[in-house]
Amino acid sequence: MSSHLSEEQIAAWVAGERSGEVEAHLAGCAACAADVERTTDALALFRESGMRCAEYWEARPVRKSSREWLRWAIAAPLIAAVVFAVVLVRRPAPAPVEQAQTGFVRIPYVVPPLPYERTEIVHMNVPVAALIAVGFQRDEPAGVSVPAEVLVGQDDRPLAIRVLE
Amino acid sequence: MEGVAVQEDFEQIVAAHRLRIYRFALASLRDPDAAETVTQDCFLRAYRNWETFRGEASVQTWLMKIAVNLIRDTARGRRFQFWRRAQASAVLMDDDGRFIPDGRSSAEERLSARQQIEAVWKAVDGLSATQRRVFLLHFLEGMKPAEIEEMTGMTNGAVRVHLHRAVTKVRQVLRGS
Repeated sequence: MSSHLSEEQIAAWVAGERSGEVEAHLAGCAACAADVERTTDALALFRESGMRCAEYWEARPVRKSSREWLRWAIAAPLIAAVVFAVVLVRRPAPAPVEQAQTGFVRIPYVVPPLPYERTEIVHMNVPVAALIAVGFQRDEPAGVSVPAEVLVGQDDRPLAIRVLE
Repeated sequence: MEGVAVQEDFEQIVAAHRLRIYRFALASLRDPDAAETVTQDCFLRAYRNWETFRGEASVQTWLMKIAVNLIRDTARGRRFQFWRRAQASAVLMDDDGRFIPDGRSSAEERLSARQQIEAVWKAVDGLSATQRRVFLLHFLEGMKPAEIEEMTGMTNGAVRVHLHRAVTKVRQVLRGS
């Protein structure tokens, strides 16, 4: 063995690979031992700092998604598609509508949210025809749109609607 | 009732592994929002595929494998690349030094610790995507090469080579800091 450990030997040792030859050298060579210690100390600091960093950011409230415009863009055609499908198959409107205390009405024929699914509410103008298809009783002409909140699932499918009166 | 039992089991899994998945995603992406999205997507995907989990790997390895794939997809986004260049360091090392571990009372010790941590992150920035993945899994998450092999699909030899090269680069940056 040369007078000091090679870079490859030190890298392997720091990465957790143990060999008797390197161990024996480190026991008798203060320079190599200090060199290895500097690296392992820095990596231990890095690990501990990374843990603190994650704990800090993980505890912060999630900021509003920057993809919201995309959700808007996707949710509107999806609602239209659901309405279109309902009309096409001429299924009777679900009655009575299932309305939670929150005022949201679940959209029929859509897979309900899974327990760990991220949902969010988007504001949009929903055609009255869509509301009637979902089960709302509306008196306005079918072509009119009304402001509503739509609960959107993680894959951007509309789950429920609440009309803003 | 079976569905309720599965959900209760899964809630325990989320509680046990959430921070770890988030930590790896944050270190990989340097974007708290993207890391949160990856973490949620990871558990949603795991929940949807829970019945196909056969226990051949540990739950942790299985979740990490999902996270690795999600992070890879996220990192390919062009918008994300721009963000990463712009704000990466601010996420990992704030001016207040709250991410510097305790036990360093003097200002010199804290400065030295900060410089070392910054040097390692700088080195991590210079690694290839694969080297970075392997490095973070080993040195941040404490995973063994055999576990990394299982979750990344790389051979044991390839994992070791990537680890050696990553450590060598970190040492080069540390020497220059």
